[in-house]
Amino acid sequence: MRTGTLLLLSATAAILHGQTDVVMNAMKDELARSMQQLTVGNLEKAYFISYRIVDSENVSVAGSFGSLNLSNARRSRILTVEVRVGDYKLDNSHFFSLNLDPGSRLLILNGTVELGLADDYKEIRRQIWLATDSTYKKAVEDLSNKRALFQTRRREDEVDDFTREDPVTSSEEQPPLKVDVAKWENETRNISALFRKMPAIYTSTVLFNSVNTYTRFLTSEGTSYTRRQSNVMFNSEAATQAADGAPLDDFVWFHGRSLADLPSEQELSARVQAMGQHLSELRDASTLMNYNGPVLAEGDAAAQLFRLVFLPNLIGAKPTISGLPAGLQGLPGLPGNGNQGENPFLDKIGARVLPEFLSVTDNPAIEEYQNHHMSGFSKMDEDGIRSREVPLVEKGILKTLLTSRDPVRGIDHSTGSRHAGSASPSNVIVTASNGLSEADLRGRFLELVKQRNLPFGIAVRRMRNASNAVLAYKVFPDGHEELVRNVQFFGLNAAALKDIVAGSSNLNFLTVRFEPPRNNPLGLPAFTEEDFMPVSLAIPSLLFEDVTLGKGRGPIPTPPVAGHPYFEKP
Amino acid sequence: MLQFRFAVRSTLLLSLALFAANAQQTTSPVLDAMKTELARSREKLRSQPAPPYFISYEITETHTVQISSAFGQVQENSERRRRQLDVDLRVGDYTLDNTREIRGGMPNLPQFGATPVPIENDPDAIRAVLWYQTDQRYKRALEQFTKVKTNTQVKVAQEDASNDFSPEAPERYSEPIADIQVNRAAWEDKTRKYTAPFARYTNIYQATSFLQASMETRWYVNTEGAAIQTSQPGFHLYVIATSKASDGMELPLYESYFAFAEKDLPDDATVLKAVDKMIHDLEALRVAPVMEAYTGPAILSGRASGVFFHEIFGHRVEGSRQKNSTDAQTFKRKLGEQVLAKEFSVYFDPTLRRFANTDLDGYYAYDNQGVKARRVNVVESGVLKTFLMSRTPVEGITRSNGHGRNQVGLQAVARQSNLIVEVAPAAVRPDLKKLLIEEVQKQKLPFGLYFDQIEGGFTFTGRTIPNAFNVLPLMVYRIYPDGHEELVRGADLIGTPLTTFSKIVAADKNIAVFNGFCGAESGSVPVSASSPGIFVSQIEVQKKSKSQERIPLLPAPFEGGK
Repeated sequence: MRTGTLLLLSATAAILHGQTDVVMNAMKDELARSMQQLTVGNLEKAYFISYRIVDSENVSVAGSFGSLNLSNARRSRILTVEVRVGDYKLDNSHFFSLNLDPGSRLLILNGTVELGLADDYKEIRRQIWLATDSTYKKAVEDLSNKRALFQTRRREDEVDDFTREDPVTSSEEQPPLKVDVAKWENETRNISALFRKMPAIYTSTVLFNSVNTYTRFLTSEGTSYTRRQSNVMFNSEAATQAADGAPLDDFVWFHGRSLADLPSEQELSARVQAMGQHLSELRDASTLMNYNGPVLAEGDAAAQLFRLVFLPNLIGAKPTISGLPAGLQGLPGLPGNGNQGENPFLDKIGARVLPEFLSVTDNPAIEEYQNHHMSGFSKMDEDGIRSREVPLVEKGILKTLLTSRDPVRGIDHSTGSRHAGSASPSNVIVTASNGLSEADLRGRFLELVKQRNLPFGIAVRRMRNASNAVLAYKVFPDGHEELVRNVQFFGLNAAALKDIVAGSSNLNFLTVRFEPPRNNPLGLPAFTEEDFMPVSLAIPSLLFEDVTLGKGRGPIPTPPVAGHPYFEKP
Repeated sequence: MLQFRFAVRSTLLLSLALFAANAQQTTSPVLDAMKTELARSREKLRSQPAPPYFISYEITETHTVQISSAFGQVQENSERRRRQLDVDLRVGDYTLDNTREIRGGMPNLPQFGATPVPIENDPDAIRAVLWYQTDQRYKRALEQFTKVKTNTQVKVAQEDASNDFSPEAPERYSEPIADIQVNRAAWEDKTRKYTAPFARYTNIYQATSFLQASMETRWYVNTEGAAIQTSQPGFHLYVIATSKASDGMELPLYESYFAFAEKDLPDDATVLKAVDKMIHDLEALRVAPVMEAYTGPAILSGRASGVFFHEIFGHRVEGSRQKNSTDAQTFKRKLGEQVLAKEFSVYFDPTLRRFANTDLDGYYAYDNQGVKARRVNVVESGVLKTFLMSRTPVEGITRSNGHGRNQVGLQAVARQSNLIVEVAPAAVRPDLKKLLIEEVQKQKLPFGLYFDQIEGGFTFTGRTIPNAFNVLPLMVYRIYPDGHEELVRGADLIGTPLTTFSKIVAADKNIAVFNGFCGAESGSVPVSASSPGIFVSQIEVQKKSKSQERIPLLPAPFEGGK
């Protein structure tokens, strides 16, 4: 799989482009005016303003059982305004407050508004003007409330609110996807029709989605960029129940930056077919009683476990302070409330978090690794900061965390990792310095099984979430395998990865969707490029010495009373 | 809280060609797939210890085109087609089933998110969805029925001992499936044109126009033998603009038009004239005095009166509300009693497509429970005759009268359709203003009120909060004893139902229609309310909720114009 061509235009070209771009001109002019003039009473002006306008074209085609469920296309243009009042040390950010104005329908939440699609200078300025006004008013009030809060409470850390970064002007162009909707509709019908030959599957779906975005970004510090980017994805999900009713489901997910990145219809069909087959076989598999012992995570499972259990800890985000009245503080689910503390890994920088033979790096600057397409590729992050490789763990020792311009304790500058709205990984590469061949790793695994006097060990090949495996096998000392279903992990957390005993020299490649932890979950900027974040992982198979597994607990639904109508036909 | 939003002006004078709903028997692949799977499900579930006694499937296809512009620029131009499934599956029997209210328990929450159904007519793909959903619903129904049986034993005897479901005649009806063809480029132009005049103003902060054209095709089958196919178009056109007074009060105005055919929407000249009036009215509202709390006589325009009746009366004659133990049941024991002045009658008629030169959005041929729509005279000469009924019986009324309605994905309950207020000549006055001034003088008040345009209203019908209603006016005038009128802002019309009902005195001949969407527990359903203007001897005004946001700090980044 190869990505489409990417061009980094020269600075001159970008400026020329800017001169003819009325949208960018409207942004520039309103930005200058707002920085110079926007104030009220004796309150201070903004020290930082940024405007982001994202044009998107979205195509979705979905189907089931050989028939279309939907086929939609939509265009939109979204403006997001950020206003910071105060200074880099202390500003209105990382402060959660609700602007409750029951008499208002004009209220702009989070500085996000939908714009008209035409490049009309005057109308774009009108909307930027109104959105900036509303965002500024909330910012000055938040800053004042935040300062008031620190009059009576000690500020726990002296970490700044915003990093200082050098301004950058850049541009990134990727040819937009030209989706043949009729072709996708046919592929959707064909691939979803595969389930007409799988009587064991109860429900299934197939989905194609593509989005072309064009982003214009401008800050009062002088950073500006334009970026044309595309994402395309394919998803298929299927579900059934085992004979005892236990639910079983699995999915196939592919992502790319160009249509050529997606596997051919033939290969997609093969993958969906394989998923369906596995699920069908799983129905008759046995379940696992309590197990404690070695576990070998292979293939997708190694990447999935790492992504689910370990990766979220590698993100540095500044905690939000709650500006809600005292009575509402401590309510669960609201930002800044309860025990939403710092990432515990902040205290582990310089300490061992993985075995000595493992190293982890995040590298958005590469688009290919060992002949595999890496989807997290970008020339710059959403703040306009040039992407670069960030070594995260070296020989087991945590070096840094991935950050955006939200500083965290001990990390004063952005690592250029703002994607999907906050700090996020891109292309994550894990390597084992003394990696074993697959055969040796398996030998080591069986040795451990023998040492523990266990009748078998467990190999996991696919996960459904952080605690449930989809594909798991009993591996017996003689090497034969037996499929087990509904295997649940108990108590597996980031600390457990410190005790990994060995890894393979071969890497497993998997691209996954990643949702970074949000700063402001109640008011996300919606419908932008930011809700689509692919992360590519390259990771060895991993051998754990001691993991507790068991059968899923809780009530099990009964199987359907009637059989599937298609397969019961006379 | 029940909401009823969006104002309409009944300025349509174009003639409407009623399209003939030919009840012809055509084969329908969707209906056939539904019938086959329904029969199979019933057969397969028969062997269960507690088989369902009733199953219905309803598939709703909506083909929607939405085009919007703001300040003369296109914002959206999209089209989508989808089908969604509703299953009503009942365990027990007509007297007691899984749908009965569990007193003291959590309300029987609807399933969130309707089930998508393939949009192509492949019977196998459709049946696969029907099969799986039937099984899921059956299991939920079984669980719920056990809870119901326990609840009826544990709690005191129910006040209303009526059955849970009414048997109804199996209807068979099939309309040809129609579709809409919208010239999307032309509507981009139109909505741009409708919002461009606002763009000159620096103190109008929102100016949007949108067309929502849709074709709703519904297929319904049930185990009693009903098989219904209907296909109904609808064209909604809105213009919405908002300004703000210097005290922060937001001043929204709406224009809305509804028609069954695109050609019956108003022409550009009509809409642009309305846009000019909106601009003028916004200008006037910005400097209008703020209304303080007030009680005294008032005139309600036909549209205002329609919404007023919808809120204070319509929601209280919905049958299901007479049964639910947490509802206030204002009119439950008033059947056969005088509830309005004897000159006033109120009926609901979902079979009416047009009234007072306006297409009615509350039209339908069959309700969501497979029952044929029909006219229901709720109040005849001031006397309460019956309630709006779904297939949930209430004490004394055992059958549905075709008002079981729901938004896709929710359980049907009795809802309103086309509400029409009729006034006998004895209470019709040529000049309500004269009547108002006389009353003002009699009560020694400085002025009376005239409620013209409104955006909607809401009401509370539960027992735990006072049973108030609130009508949300946009344009309200003070009328002084010398006859002069003064526009005011910030007034909401409030009251409680029985008191207010006794104060309705007279009406004029200016019948107007309000088309809108009504929201309640079974979701949002299209309705209309038509009434002449009315005179009420006493109403109450409450201050409107007001924004605390200043007007923008910086002047607009361009020159404004007048």
